[in-house]
Amino acid sequence: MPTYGGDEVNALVIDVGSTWTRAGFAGEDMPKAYFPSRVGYIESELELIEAADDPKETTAADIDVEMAESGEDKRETPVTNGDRRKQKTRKYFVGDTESATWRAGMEIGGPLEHGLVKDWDIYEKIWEYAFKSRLRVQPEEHPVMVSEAAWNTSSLRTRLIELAFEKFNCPAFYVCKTPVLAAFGTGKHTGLVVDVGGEMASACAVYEGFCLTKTVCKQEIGGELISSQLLEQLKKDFDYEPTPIFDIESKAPVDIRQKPVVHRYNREGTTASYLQEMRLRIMQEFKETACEVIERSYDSNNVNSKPLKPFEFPDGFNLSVGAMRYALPEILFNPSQFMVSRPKQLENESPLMGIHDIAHKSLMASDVDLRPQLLNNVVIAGGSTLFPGFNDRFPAMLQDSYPGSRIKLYAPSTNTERKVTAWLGGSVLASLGTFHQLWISRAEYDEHGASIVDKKCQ
Amino acid sequence: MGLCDNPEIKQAYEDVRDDKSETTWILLEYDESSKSDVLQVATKGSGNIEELKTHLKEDAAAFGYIRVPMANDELSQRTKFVLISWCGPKAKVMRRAKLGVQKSELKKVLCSFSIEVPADDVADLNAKEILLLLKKAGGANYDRQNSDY
Repeated sequence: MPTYGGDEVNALVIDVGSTWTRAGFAGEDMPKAYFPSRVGYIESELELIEAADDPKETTAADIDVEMAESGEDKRETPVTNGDRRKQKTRKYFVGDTESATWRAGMEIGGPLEHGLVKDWDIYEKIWEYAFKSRLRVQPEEHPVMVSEAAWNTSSLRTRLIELAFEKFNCPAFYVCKTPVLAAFGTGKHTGLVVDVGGEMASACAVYEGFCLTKTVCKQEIGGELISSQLLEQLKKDFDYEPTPIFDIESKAPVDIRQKPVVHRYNREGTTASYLQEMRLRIMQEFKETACEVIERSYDSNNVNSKPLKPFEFPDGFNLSVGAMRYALPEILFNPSQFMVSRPKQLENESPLMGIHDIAHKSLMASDVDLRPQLLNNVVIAGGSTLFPGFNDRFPAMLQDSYPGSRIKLYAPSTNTERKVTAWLGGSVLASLGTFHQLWISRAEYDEHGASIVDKKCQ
Repeated sequence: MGLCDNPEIKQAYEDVRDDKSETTWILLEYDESSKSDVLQVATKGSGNIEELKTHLKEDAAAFGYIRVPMANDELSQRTKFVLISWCGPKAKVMRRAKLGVQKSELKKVLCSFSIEVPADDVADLNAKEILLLLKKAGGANYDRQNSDY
């Protein structure tokens, strides 16, 4: 029976985001496992003859089984068809290279929607991949610390604790809200945490290590939106759709802004979701190298006087990026004006808020006496805040709403830390000696049931 | 060994507070040789904040405790104490993150101070600014109509 004492407990910390998953050991500076949350899966039907004792696989897809680390998952969707029953199963491919490899009929799916767990199969597969394949640990031997969105519901939390104890047999478990972890990750107990991630942008006030749920304010704008809007902009301005790397057989160099000269494999069986995901990954690189946030405010004269940045796509198409590289990140501050086309998920939301509006709304929801302290401790987290110029622009826009107050921004010192701020907070928290009495142990779960998560994990 | 179990820390703290002693400030740094986090008295001095600033390292975190004489006018002289929590810009991530929690433990030993100044840049530790913070924390300012703070 392991005894927990001092700083020797090696707890596991896992933080599953919409776009990236971070997992590692508590006490370390960086998560050892950092991979995309989007996984590939191939759905096939198992034909069950008669009594379902002898399922015979009749899959049409030619699946590359040897290379992939996959897990079979039986989904109970029987389709009665006379004597034969069909069961849908999915083979999952988790991880950076595994999900990027082309396979006929492979779709891409993610675990979260709107920041909350939607697809529990994928979520479970991600945990499995993180623990068994990347960290190479047995989850039965380590306490597990998990992050959750600030707006997580009680039913999802109970399902989470059940997953940890029933499926993975963890000896101890704790779940903590992301803003609290992000604050700890920058060494603060109190502050306004502004988190702009892949799918969601949110602001939440944290006071003395507690997340003030009334101040949670969120919107579905983030890095993925910027990437997909960049795709639309390219289509609009240059009538160009990037060819993903898997599809390129050969290419020839072309002059700037000329149509690419590329031979495509055009493989049959490429699914739409896979194609889109691979295109978005190219835009991710484009976004990281070329895009910036303009300092004061977006003004066409200002933007046109900025230097151009050259960028070459994998299929040879190249251009000198100009106004586009400043215009698209403006979506973060002024979505309605700078979006090329309104995506499905934002159709019903109005008015669309910029990040500074989200932060403002969050502050308005917090106690009046607390606001100066919160403004003096604004914590920035999330990979989509790494645009050059963001650190100056965001406080300037916030200052416009609060002219008299002193606004101080806190962000992790290095860029890589900002992507994993919440994970870092989890790592710090789980490694503290004083934290050990807060874990929910297996015995407590067995005695009180899943509802203990609401009592112990505030 | 806990964070502030070293008896020297308490002694140094009393030394600064002692009116008869020359010491006006102490600097507590983390003991690098120990596996878990332990603080030790790194330096003492009898100068002002400028002297303390010279001992702050860019890649480490430290705590300073300094005595600041304050005067509203020539006749009333008071002594105030300031706790400085310093985290260098190049300090390691885990050090910075643990600071918040360890600070509260430290405050049980260095228990009496007027204000706390967190700093990650030497420019934050400006003598004038600290005096202003002390004045604001010092209670009612009956001179409000004539002063500019």
